[in-house]
Amino acid sequence: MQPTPLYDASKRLGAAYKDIAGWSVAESYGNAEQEYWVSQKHVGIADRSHLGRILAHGSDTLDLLNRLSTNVVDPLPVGRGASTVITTGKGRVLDWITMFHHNDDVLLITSPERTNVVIEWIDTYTFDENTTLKDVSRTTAMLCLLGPSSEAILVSLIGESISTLSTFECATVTWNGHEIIVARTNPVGQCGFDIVIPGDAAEDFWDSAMKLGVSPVGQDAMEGLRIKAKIPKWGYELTEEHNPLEVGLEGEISWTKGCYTGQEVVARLFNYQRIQRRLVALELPFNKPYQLGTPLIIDGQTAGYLTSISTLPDGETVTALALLRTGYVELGRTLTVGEAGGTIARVTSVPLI
Amino acid sequence: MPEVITPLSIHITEKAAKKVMQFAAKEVKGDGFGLRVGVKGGGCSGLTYTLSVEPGPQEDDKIIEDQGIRLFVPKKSFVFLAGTELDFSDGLNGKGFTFNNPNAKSTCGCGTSFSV
Repeated sequence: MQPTPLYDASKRLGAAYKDIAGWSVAESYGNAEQEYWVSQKHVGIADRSHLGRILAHGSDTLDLLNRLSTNVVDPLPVGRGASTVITTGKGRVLDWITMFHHNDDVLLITSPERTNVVIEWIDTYTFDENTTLKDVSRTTAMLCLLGPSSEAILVSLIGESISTLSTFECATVTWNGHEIIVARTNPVGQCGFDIVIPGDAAEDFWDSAMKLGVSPVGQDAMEGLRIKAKIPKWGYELTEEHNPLEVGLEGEISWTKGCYTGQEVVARLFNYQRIQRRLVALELPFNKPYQLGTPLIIDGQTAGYLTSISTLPDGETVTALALLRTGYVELGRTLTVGEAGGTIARVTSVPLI
Repeated sequence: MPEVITPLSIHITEKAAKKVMQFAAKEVKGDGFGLRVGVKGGGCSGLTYTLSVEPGPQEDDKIIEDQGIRLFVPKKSFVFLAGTELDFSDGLNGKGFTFNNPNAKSTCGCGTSFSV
């Protein structure tokens, strides 16, 4: 396993680690429940260096990515970002990425497991285009400042200029002599910022944030926040078996931009209402053992299965995500988890379209 | 003597060639002009055909002469287009330039995109 640039800093704070796509990442700093709450009530800082970072350079980059993915990413002015789904010719998800146009480059953020797949895919479909890709995952780090006080902390660290950034806007700023990219994002549903920084400057930035009273947040808490915000993730909801409409990414699709790889399939599924399954959020009683992939039963029929389960409660319940067959998707519906007589789950959120 | 194997080439029909001559005359590209035929990524099925009248070939282009027209085919595109026939259909229901590509496993509804 490869340590991230924040490995040593996290170790000093008593982190326990987990393997994510070959990276050793802090899973908690001793109290995941507290990390979960401080990110929602005050401010936390999390290591996101295990996500892929690809620097794309060249005048045809945005046009190429616009043709290969679901959302409008061309035009994308300098200082703006967008999220989009790269889809196959059959309309299946290859990865859900975020892009930031800064200076002359476009920074692509990929799922940790999908960096090489995305690079190979874009390379395969690059012909005459003026576009080159460089994997900078190992030479940079990515940190996330999240929570209601994240902006105030970042202003203290960097200056007032970042407070003018709206959601998905980015800026290149200088911190301690290093050029860093700051983007206002909400990767786990909390207001905050992603900071992409050269690997050898990451620990200093982390320590500076600690001195301002920021709490470290591990991946267990980040997962709890992600699931509460109903955000799908590669390997859990997102796989090459599903199309974006089935896995909660309907908001990432432009219905007016014209052709992209997989466009006909996605449009047909939507227009003919042939989407077979949808992503829903469930409420489950806390303090019971649950397993990913457990079937959800209604009237003796398997309606779907659990794809993500939070280990951190909100009151007496935890949030889970599930893929349910479309005919069973209804707000408030109850289902049995696993075999008959099992725990009852309740649907608390369904897709808007 | 070993048998000489001719690689599958790209063809243009007489009708398509005439149409290209008409475009070229309007665009005044000079005597060395040709039709650049290629593919690019994207488009519903994954790959899209590209066509343009150009004053000359680019470095690494394959040059094929057919029906009095010079075809310039970019190196990376050639494998996807080998054996393709470029035709032209006009009239009220005409689709314009069309590609009959034996490599195409599927095409999109409007015919501009294909996969191999």
